[in-house]
Amino acid sequence: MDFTLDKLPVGTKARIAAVLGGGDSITRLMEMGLVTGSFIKIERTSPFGCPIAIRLKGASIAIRLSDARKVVLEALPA
Amino acid sequence: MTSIKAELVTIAVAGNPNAGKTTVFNTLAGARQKVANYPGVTVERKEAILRLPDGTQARLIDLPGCYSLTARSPEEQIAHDVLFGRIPDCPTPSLVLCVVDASNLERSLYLVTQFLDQGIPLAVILNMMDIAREKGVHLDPEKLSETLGCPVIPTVARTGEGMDRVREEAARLIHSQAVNGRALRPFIEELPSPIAEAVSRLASQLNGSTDGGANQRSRPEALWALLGNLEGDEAIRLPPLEVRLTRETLADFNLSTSDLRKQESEARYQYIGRILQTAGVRHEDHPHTLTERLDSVLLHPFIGPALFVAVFALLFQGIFAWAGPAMDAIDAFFGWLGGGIEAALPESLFRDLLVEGVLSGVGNTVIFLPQILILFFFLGLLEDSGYLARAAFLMDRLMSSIGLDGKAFIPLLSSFACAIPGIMATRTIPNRKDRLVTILIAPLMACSARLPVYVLLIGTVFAAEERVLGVFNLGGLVMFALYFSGILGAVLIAALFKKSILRGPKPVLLLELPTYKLPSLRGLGFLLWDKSLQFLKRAGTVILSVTILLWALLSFPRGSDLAHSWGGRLGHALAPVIEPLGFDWKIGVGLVSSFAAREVFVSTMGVIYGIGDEATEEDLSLREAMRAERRPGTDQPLYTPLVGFSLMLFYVFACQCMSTIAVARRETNSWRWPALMFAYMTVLAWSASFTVYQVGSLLGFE
Ligand SMILES: Nc1nc2c(ncn2[C@@H]2O[C@H](COP(=O)(O)OP(=O)(O)OP(=O)(O)O)[C@@H](O)[C@H]2O)c(=O)[nH]1
Repeated sequence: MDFTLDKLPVGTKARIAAVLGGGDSITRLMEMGLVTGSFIKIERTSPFGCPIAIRLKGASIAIRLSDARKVVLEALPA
Repeated sequence: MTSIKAELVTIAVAGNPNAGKTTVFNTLAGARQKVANYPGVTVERKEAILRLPDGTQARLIDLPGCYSLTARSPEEQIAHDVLFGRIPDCPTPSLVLCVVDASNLERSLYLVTQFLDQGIPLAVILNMMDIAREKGVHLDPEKLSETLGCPVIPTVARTGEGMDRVREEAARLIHSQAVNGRALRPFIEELPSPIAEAVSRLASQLNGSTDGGANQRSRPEALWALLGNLEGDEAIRLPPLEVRLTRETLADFNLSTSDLRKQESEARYQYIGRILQTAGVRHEDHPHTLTERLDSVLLHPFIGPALFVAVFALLFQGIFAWAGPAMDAIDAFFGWLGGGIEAALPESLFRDLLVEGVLSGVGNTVIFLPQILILFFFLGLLEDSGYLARAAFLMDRLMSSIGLDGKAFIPLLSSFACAIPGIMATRTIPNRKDRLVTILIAPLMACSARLPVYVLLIGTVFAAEERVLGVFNLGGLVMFALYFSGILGAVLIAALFKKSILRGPKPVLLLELPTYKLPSLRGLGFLLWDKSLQFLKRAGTVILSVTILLWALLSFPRGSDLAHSWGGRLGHALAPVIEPLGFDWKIGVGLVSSFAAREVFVSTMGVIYGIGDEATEEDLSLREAMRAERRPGTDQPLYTPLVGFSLMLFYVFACQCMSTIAVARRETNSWRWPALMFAYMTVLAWSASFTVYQVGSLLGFE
């Protein structure tokens, strides 16, 4: 079952299945490693709910919910 | 000088943000650095002469920090143009030193592989090795070097470890560019379909479009053209013919720039995966424990914001209050020096020019140093330690709701103390338009120079101690209304600019939360030195000239009193324009003279009312004298609460500060933006005072 990054519970690891849409924001995030096959985890959300801090390729980066909705994930086998 | 420079080979230092590029540059270059802007843009360029171990000298330049060479922002465009030798007086580098964060290798290789595509001589500086070890990254620099086909030098720039090898390798590489074998072909030769076909097609066409000869660079050039923005104001800088060819290629292959970027990123990361595998790099992604622990507190839903407020309250307190004694001391020093000169020289025009023009112009500049030093000291600490990124993380929601970058928070907060350091701090804002909007609205924050004006006028026209609703005191309420008007004005004006001349998409959030580090004092020293020097050199000249101009306005023709000086006549001339706001010509003179700095209004009033230029805002006799002033041609008092409020509102919005204009000129590298700033603020101030005074009068207030 596929779901998007904004639905991923904090602290759970998943794998990126696809990145939808275009635009400056999402293509820049892809350059920072938000590409198909990468493992991803939400570390925490900001106190206002957006942005969220994700762990990606060994670094923490911030991403807004509007971009998180474009990231399709596949759950990892438990 | 220029001829020597032209003969030197150029070495460029490049790297991701936060990889330690500045530290590496400073270690290599030492203290003798020149800071300039790249032509036409406000991207800083640092430059130094580097003496290599074998005695050769090279010109060391730093490239703006970026994650990729795809040209979309001014920084990326510059990095790009330098590599292709398209910047005047900056030859194509003979060697690029790419600083990467070893603890973050996979992502750093993105930029490295782009440089390798370029075919330019490259050495990878594998920095932050200490953190990589701590994080449990297993990597062998030798094997990585063999895989990439370029030298890989492990360093800890902070302690200087490995930096000698960097110098040695640099000396070796600028003489012989032999590559010591490579296990993988560059990515550009392994592009997936259909990018590969598109690149080949465009490359052959670009070759034809220039001089026809086999141009080795045309493949990377074609790739960058395909990936860059072709339109908009951050479009890649290419000849129109090449833009057309690029468009046609995209259309023929039925690709959009955005599809292409996505496919390229995916493919490049797969390629990077192969590099890591070939070089046998393994990393267990242990999060940095200290960072984890600190973040669980500093980004905690409740404690995080509370600490945020505390940190910035301290910063604000620092600029607002701690700078005070130093500024007073500077003031006293220049007063003493001026007094000394006056005593030593006979009364003359020259003496006046020297003391009241030149000396006070220098004083007017130096007076800002304490605030600039304090702000950048804190900012340097916060940035170096890694907290600044967290602050932007916390503020993004709020700032982006008014269309600004999360990083605009600090410049705007600092502007409550003084817009000068505030505007200087906008450098951290990545997007050009967001930065311009922030610069334009920064002077609307009520700076500390407005306070004396408010205090004088509130004391003159209001019964400041009077209680309102039992708890508030009237003076405090008025003060609150003034501060609030400024903020409200700023929000509205920001929205206006974002919807008109500076229209752009919501700022992209490109924010990495780096590991926390202990700030380096050496780096901080460099930063403070750099900021002070630049301010003195660039803004200082404008402030000095305007001070001399203002001095001339207020002291010619010789022997006249203030009322009959040119400035006084200007005040008279202004009278019809400001009469609808409730002001008289004396206020006009005050407005003219306070262009030097807003608080000068107080001493000007002191001179006009015969109290002397030592008058302070607390001066009761000055308040008395002002209260006794009559509206011209009547026996009604001039300074009614309505006029007082109208005047204060004028100070809220008007750009009565030459130093702000000087620093905006310096930071935007053009007179256009400061001119716009002055114009919109003056119109806004006039309209606000006009509305308040006219509507107030109609409603029967006085
Ligand atoms: N532990 C460790 N810290 C380092 C090393 N090199 C630099 N730093 C620290 O990392 C932080 C960032 O370094 P900078 O040199 O400012 O990084 P930069 O790449 O110029 O970053 P930007 O200014 O954002 O472009 C500073 O606190 C440095 O003191 C290193 O090798 N090891």
